[in-house]
Amino acid sequence: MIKRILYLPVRLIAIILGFVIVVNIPILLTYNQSYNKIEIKFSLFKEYVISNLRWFTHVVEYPYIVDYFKGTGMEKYAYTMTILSISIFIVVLLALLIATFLMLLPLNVRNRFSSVIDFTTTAPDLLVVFLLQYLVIFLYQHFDLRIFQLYGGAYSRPYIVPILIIVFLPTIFLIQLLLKEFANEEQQDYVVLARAKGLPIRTIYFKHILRNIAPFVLIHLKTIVWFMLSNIFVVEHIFNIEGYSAALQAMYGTRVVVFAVGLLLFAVPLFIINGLSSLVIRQQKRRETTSI
Amino acid sequence: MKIFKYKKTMIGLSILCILLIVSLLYPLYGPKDFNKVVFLYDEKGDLVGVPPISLNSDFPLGSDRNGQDILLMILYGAKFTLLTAFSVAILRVLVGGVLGIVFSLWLKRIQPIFKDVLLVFKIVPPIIMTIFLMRRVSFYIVDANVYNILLYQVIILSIIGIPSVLFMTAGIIDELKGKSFIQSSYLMGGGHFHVLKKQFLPYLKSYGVLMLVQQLLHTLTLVMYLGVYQIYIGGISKDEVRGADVLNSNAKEWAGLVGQNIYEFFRAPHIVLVPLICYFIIIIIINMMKKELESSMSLNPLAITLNNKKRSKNKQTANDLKKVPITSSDFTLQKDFSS
Repeated sequence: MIKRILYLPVRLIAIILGFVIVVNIPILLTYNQSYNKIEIKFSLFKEYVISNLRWFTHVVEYPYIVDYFKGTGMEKYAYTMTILSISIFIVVLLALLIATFLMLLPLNVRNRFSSVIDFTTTAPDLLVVFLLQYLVIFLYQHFDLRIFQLYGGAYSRPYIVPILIIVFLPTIFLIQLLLKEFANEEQQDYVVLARAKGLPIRTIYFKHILRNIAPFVLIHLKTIVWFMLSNIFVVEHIFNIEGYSAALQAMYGTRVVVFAVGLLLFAVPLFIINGLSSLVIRQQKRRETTSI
Repeated sequence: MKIFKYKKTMIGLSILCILLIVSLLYPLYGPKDFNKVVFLYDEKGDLVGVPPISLNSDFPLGSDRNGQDILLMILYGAKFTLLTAFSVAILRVLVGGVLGIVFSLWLKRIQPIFKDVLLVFKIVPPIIMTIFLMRRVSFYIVDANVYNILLYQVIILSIIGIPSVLFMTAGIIDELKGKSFIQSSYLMGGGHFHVLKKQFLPYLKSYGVLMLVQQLLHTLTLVMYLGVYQIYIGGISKDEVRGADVLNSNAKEWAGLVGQNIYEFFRAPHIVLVPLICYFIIIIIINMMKKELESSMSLNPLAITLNNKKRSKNKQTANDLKKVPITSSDFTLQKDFSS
């Protein structure tokens, strides 16, 4: 335990060093436009890395970082994170519902559905963006439904359409994963026992299998949230939404420390999910060891 | 060779190869300005269309805002898309794999610190990182030799993906190390190199092929995202896109064609949909290859060591393969949940 605590500063330095090196890769490897060739500038790179590292040692100035995130910055962050958290919630809910519903269907229908899902997951995200965008406009043109605001502006903050687009593909991934988990769980002994005892299939799925699968959802969520983070970044750009991605890009030109904090803030959902899933894994392992 | 056993993979690879060759031979048959037509007349001399012209007999896939034939542009740009994807994937797997082996066998001591150094790649999604790293280069106008800037972009794209391959390789080796045949090999006095050659490599080879395909898909997605940000593979051209306030892709790489015309969807949808569907077809082909490879890899090192006490022993199928990377590392982002 003490060893681990003593080791923490080393880890911190390593993480910061890694960050600084990665940020400065464009300095090390540059493309010279006039000569049309790639150049390696090691001395300049070293200089940049050292000066950047020095910024991290100015602990006195850390409180001023808050200034960068005050006001609009924090607003944008809250907006993006709202979209993200609502999306995660919807993804989990929808995927669980649809996957359970699909499992209740007869086997041949289910197989057809799952092959459709398999095909949909290969679709490039942009195609999905276009088609959903088209759907919204189609709804507006033909049924005069103007409930969704499509593009962002200076002060407008659309919610429904970005969420719709961000949710679509991850939900299908999660359904796919859940179907696999269901198929695995279906062959367990307790399911066979329950069936032999004459329990209706619906009860087995909703009461027993779903409950056993729930922890796996959290483990898969890690990947899904990671995927959604990059998705939200692109969607905000396409729809010209003034979200956190714009703020992050503005931060790139400022100080390294600010940029680092900005990136860390962006990754907060990832940390939360990671922590939760590691908890679940630990519990799962403990249960396994006790069962032996 | 066992390689002919994989029919779908061979078919997919040959389609991609033919596409690449046709694209590489473009200067032999295609005009340099992609049949630029500003005013299209019929036989009588009447004006039939101005760009963007939609699909007709003169332009099988239509023309874009500058009056260039989209079919020719797609043929010309295919080589850049394919070369970038393949070279990035190969570089990532080779460098990442070798580093992963070195760090988990010979430099085991400093592996934790090294993992911390690479933690940035775990926190920041690759698209964000790539945008910040490539932005400087992306707004250079390239006239003569595209391949230098292409090489630069390939290097940056590879660096972004190397850590994930590294962690995956290290994970596989760590899993394998716990198995009895490896341990007995060490106990009998085998050195790291010997064990690597005799025991690890057969596993790593088959796993490497799978990772290669996975990285291919990952690169294609990443490049497409970059196109949206107007960061084109092969730099930008000095020609403007008529009537639209976007940069013009120089190499006519497919993702660039999609990205630069992204707002054309409602005005002239064919301009953006044609390259996008071509891109989709490539992704489908690679996915098909991946599925076949996955299903044929019954001997999966991770599925055996993952002792799920809950699951019965004879049901370790390809499903287990997917489970391991997710629980052991959060590095499998991409869309490779399909199997």
